[in-house]
Amino acid sequence: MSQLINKEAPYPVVPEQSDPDAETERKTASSKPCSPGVDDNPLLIVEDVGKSFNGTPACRDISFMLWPGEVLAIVGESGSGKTTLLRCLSAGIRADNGRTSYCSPTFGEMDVFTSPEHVLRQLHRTEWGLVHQNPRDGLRLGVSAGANIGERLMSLGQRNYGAIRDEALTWMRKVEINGDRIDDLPLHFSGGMQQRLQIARNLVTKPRLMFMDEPTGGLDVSVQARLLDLLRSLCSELHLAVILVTHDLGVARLLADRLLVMQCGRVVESGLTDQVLDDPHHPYTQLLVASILEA
Amino acid sequence: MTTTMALLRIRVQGLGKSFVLHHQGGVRINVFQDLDLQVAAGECLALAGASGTGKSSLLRSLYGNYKPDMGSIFVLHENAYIDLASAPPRWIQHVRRGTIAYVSQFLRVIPRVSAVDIVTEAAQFNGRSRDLARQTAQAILSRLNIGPHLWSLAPKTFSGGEQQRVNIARGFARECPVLLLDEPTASLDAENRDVVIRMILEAKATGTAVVGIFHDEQVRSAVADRIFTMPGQADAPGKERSPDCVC
Repeated sequence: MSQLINKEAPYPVVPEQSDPDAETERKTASSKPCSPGVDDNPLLIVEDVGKSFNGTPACRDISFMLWPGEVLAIVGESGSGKTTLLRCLSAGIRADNGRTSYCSPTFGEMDVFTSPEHVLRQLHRTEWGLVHQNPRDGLRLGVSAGANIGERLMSLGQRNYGAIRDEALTWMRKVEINGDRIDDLPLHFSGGMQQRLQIARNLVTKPRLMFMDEPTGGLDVSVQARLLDLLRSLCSELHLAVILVTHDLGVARLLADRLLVMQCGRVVESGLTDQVLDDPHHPYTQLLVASILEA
Repeated sequence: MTTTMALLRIRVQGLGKSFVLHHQGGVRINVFQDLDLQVAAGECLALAGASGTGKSSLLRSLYGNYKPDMGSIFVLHENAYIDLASAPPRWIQHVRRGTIAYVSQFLRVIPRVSAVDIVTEAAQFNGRSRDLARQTAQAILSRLNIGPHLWSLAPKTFSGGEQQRVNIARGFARECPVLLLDEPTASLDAENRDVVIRMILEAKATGTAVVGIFHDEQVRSAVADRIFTMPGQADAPGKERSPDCVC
């Protein structure tokens, strides 16, 4: 029996030697060899990223990996460095140290922090998406909803007005905005609609990686619930990898596969979402979990 | 090495779990220590012991929901043993998807998702199409006496027994090789309890390893092959342990 279990063997595979039952079991139990994902290469590798403002560290020694289709939530209270980290990773601000490599189908394996400006711009228009807490920061309020969605397509050289408009209508429908509103300015939309429009504007080029900063932030509870339902289905339908900053553990439980818990600029605990929330180990995580009514 | 030994699906070695409550005076609660147990294909192990001896914590550890402090939990997953006590999150997710179904004590689901969608989502793993998964879900719900009029509703408004049956349907929809059951029949009437007993026996017949907490004596005697008594608070050793085990 000893060869079945081998503690010393390198993780994760302990192959079986000669167990005839095992072979038949495998055939009957799971006809599918392997659900996709576990052997993929990581989409993003973050190593020792840090950033200070005027000598005060906002985040330090941040390292993690993100795989295609995975939703990672970064949780922690205000001032814990979540948003700074997100902005570093999405190249919005320059990190002081560390490196982040992104695996791009277009550019191959690339170092985000040292990539030229035009390459990053290209990424932000195609393979990446960025959803701000305040949709007004991510939308052009002075142009129509349709133009907001079409902007990425036009920047990629699409010129066929009809096709762009059709695509905009498709995405408005997907994020549950009535197509009648395509020519209206988002300035006159409700907060929830603006947020959905911001998401559609990002998804139109089918990005692989989305950065989201409190996407359900200033919305009231029922609007937030609808948006969460929408995000959940879009993530699985489009196989999106997401880095989601939120202070709301309920949102994290609903959307995220994994959690990073940040305090004072550092990651103090990480793991599977349900494991971290149901069995928190670090004092700060315990405090966070104990502070909510129900997550 | 004995060649006749049945295929082991779960092997737990030296498992220990404690909680440190940092905001309640740093109290350390030792839930269990140095547990050894194993479960073979087609076998059902019932966890027994007084309330508070860590039965549910052990079950949650077997699902990777609690993180043990010591020891290992090897689970046979796609022809290899994965140690859930040390596996990275992605691997735990992977093992859960393909190998382990867990029926918790209470249904805890995403609000607003309908009963049939909850079960369909669970049934869709193992490479099934959405349509087939939906048919499977409907069949299991019907078997557990959740009628079509309830399928499209979110279970939040269901009675306790109905919620638990949706929970059970979700757990069985996957036909996973490892099935963890935390008091599955607690709030069920006799008729539904008998359905669940039959479902557990059928799962065992197809080679599923079952670990469960069954307070209902009748259920336990109908499904369990062996009983593992949780050791009391740091003294009485568990019955399944070998005699040479130092406590």
